[in-house]
Amino acid sequence: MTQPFRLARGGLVDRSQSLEFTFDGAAYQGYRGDTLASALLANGVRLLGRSFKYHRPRGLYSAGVEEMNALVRIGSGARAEPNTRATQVELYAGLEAGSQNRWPSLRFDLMAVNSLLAPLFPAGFYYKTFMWPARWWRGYERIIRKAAGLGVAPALPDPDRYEKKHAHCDVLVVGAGPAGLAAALAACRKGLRVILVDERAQAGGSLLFDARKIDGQACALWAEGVIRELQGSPRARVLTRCTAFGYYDHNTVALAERMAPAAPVRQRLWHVRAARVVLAAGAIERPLVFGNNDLPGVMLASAVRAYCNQYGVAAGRKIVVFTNNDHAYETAFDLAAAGVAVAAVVDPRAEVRPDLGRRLAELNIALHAGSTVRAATGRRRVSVAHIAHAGGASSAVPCDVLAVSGGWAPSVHLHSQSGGKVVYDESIAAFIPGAAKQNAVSVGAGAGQFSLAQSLRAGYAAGAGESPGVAGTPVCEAEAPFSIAPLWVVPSTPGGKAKRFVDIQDDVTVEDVALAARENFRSVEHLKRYTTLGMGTDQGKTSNINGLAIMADLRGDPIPAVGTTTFRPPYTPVALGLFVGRETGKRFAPTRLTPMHAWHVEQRAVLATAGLWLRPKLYPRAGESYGESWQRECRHVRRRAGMVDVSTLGKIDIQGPDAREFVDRVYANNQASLAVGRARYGLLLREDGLVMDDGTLARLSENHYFMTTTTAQAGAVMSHLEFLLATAWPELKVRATSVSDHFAQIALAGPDSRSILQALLPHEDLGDEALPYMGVRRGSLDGVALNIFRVSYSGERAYELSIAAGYGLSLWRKLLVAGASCELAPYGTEAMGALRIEKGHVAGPELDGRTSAADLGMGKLASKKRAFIGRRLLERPALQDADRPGLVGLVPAGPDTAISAGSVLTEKAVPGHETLGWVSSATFSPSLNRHIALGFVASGPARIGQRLLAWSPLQGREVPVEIVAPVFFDPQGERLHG
Amino acid sequence: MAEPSLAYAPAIDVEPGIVHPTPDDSPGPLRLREKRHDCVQLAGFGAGRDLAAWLEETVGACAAPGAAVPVLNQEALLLATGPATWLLVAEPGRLAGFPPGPKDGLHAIAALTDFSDGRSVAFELRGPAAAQVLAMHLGLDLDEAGFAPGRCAATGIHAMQVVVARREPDVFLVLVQRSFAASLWEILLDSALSYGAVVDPAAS
Repeated sequence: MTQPFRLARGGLVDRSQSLEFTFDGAAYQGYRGDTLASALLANGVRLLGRSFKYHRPRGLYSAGVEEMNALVRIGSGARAEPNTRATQVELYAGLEAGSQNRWPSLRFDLMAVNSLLAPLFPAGFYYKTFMWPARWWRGYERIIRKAAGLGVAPALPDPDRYEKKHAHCDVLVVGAGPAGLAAALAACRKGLRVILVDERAQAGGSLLFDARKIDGQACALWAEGVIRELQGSPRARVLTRCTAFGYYDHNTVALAERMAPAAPVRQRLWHVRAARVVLAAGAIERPLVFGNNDLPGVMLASAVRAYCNQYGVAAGRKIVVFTNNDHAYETAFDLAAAGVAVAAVVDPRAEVRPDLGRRLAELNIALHAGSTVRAATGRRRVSVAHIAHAGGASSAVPCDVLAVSGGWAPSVHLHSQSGGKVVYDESIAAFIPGAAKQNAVSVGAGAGQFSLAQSLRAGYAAGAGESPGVAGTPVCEAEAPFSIAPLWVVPSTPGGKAKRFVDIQDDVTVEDVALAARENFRSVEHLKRYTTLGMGTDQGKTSNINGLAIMADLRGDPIPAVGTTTFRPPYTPVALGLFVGRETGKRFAPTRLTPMHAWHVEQRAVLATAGLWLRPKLYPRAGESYGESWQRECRHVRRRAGMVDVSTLGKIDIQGPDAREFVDRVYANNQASLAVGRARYGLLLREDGLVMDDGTLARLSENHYFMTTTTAQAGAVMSHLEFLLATAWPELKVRATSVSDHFAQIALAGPDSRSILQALLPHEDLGDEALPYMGVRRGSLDGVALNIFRVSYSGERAYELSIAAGYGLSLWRKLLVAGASCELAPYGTEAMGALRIEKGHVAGPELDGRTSAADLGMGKLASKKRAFIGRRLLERPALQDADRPGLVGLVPAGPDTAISAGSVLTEKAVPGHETLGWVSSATFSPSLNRHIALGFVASGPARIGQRLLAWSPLQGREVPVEIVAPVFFDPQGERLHG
Repeated sequence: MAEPSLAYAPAIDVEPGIVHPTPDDSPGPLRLREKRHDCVQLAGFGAGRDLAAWLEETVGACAAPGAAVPVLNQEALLLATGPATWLLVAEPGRLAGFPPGPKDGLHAIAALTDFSDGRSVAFELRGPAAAQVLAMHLGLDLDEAGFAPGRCAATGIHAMQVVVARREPDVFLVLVQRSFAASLWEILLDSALSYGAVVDPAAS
């Protein structure tokens, strides 16, 4: 017979839809509506995992998020998801699950030997054990790391799709139990925008199997009606399978929504900003702490009841209920009603509510009041409950399930994460939410309101934003108040060796807590770290309160004095993929493309990233090597002409009556004298006097300037200018606007550049008088504005053409046609870099945030008379030191060999020997047919003629170099005009 | 043969058609297209009060912060995108020579910058999925009651600066810098997987 523990009737599962699944390779059957846990339970599978430290056999303990034992791996390969709570996995056809943390098998786990060695592994043993000899630590660490953890994360990339979404609402309700449904209903009826979230697949919580009535309807039907009403409202959204896992500032709550297995999206991360948050997160039942309370078959009473009522599964054949409160009696009643044998109810309270006792008697269930279960025994599962009766007698009751309840812990996690405090309520022996820090209110069992009527009343009022009792509040019959007698730990049998677990997932026992107290780790935070209490994947949902209560007793303090540990997000584990979303691979960051990108791709240019930009490095021709390609491009620029896409340069439009004053203040070199129609090199300093960036400034009209920056610093310079205008000089009538994307920019360089440009613009006077070096022309082509700047980065006669980006590609093509007779060819950044090194022009490697104008050989550019940004701190003695590293050229002193950029300059290639400088840029110079480099060396140009070593310890290279002037090619600059 | 004239190239060069089929449970696909237009930025000096007055007088209205109002006889849209800063957006050619007449008065109070090819690559998102797709990237409250037609916001999508304007309940205009346009286009289409996506012919 399949599913031997499935009850003949009952439950909310769809028995017409049978689903096949596997666990550790064995095939089973369940029904639609089952969780993996309920289906395994229905099939009689009791052993589901091994404990973290001692590898003790463990079975299902709960039916919800608090599950600490039944952590399984779902799926395989790249889709394998470790540490998944079986209680939260909806069953689907073909589900493949496996156990974890065991070897070679779950039934026979060799690591269970740890259990025998338990005396050697008390709390904090590894803090004491692996201290010496220190050099062995690496070995210890490897073994500890191998032994640690539960599941194993797949090493393959996650193939699933995760999405993110933002949502706003007037009221966010967390939890769709009685209080949450009432709150959402009230908010919806007030016309508010409401979002209701629940971590389970079906909203309703305990109402789904509550036999009472609300507003005259069966609870489940009432819940169904509320959901229908919400779903019918355009202003309400109901999210099931959705866990509110983090509560942040500004009433922002993060939700993790799990999609159905076949959905194209696996999970969705919601950022919800709510005007008001209603926390109706319910409560988690606490285990009782007694001997062998971790044996498979020991389960929370509420879970046993849920499996019976919600899934139609009997947790066992003969069940003993052990409880210190009234709630668990309902478990006994429901089991009996379902035909499951209840052997006894054990209650440490001498007095039990008479009506409960009467009902037990009617059902022929033995009640052992004033008694406790001292221990459970059995091989791999419970077979006997050992009861200590009032008066000292004891008995052994055979059973296969021990349903325990130590009371309820309201889920105060989100309240606490939001900044709210928690307070201890003696009447229910639990911490409940205190005053909220944000606009939030806790209701229902999550606020310690354990009666249905209380939950509905508080929930409805919270949803409506009004006082309790507001019109429309759902009503139900009254019930007896919740009663509990705290029982934090059951004394062990004298001489008994059965372990009493406080934190079942982390194998933390009562004795471990006592040891921590003896060793003075008495603060609850110390207790946590020292013993690992509450540090598992369940974050101590079932163990924290028991642990701190035991510590309180050991300290002789009241429980509130001990307090709780800090609740931090996430409430339950969240897949990392959810935070990453779609931002993986090429989507990790946006890519910026120039207007001519399509042409570069068409020509099979080798593309490289430069920040977010994608730029052509070179345009290889058939049969060319990488080096041959860019060197050919370089030579062609020097010999004829080349064109390069420089659209990535930062471009800033500066306008206003005070524009002249503004540019003169921001540049270190004088710009006030720049005439209309002219451009000038510009050096920008930071406030600390070091160089920020360089570029050109063109004066387009009296009050209109066009600034260019390097590609890398475009954003930083723009921010710098905006900051200055907003804070330092708000009185200036100037606006700076980034137009980097508005213009496509092409540099046309080489001896033939003028004739090519003339071919493109036959009606323009491009003679040296009309457009001299550093001249600016505002012209047009086919009616489209075209700016021409006669500036040069290569050292050749050159022009930079600037046109609206939408026409960039067309201009590029037209220019190629115009230059065909001169064999005009494109060149990439590799050639551009070599050309600028040949000319000693500084770029990013030299403008690295550590260099001053003087270091770069441009000290004289900085004005001595006027104020500008960086002026004051430029005068610091350290920046005036003549020994500061200054820019120099470097050539190999011996045979021509490559100099590695990044090498240090030193007299001896010995670690620790004085470093005199560094190599910033290096290349092979096609024009000089030798290797050259730029670098910085102490005292700079004063060392010209000296020899040093360019030493790269990383590459193991050592090249003797001679210090030379930094301009290698055409030092007189004659080619600019030629 | 005469040289061909300069030709304008849109930022996105794709064939119209279905990119993602529309699932049964979708409210309808995202319809996406590039929409060419002219765009100028008007950035006032100081607090921009003089420019605000100039806009009232010259274009017929001055959009309050976060507003996108039709101006110039409904032929243009004026978007308030930042402190003392407005974008004027119109069909291609409609802003040629703007503002008419001498510009000295304007230049004394504001900077006028042509943005037609820069920030203002415009994508039009249309259909019931438009707001859903944008909500995957924007922290804005896109509820019609708050971000109604006629509202705009300068914000960001995946580290890209964008200006989002709602034209109609199901029609949004997203302006982005041209160099980022391909990335934004790809992200928007990718985000529409659950809704379906259709690329419409580019519009001008």
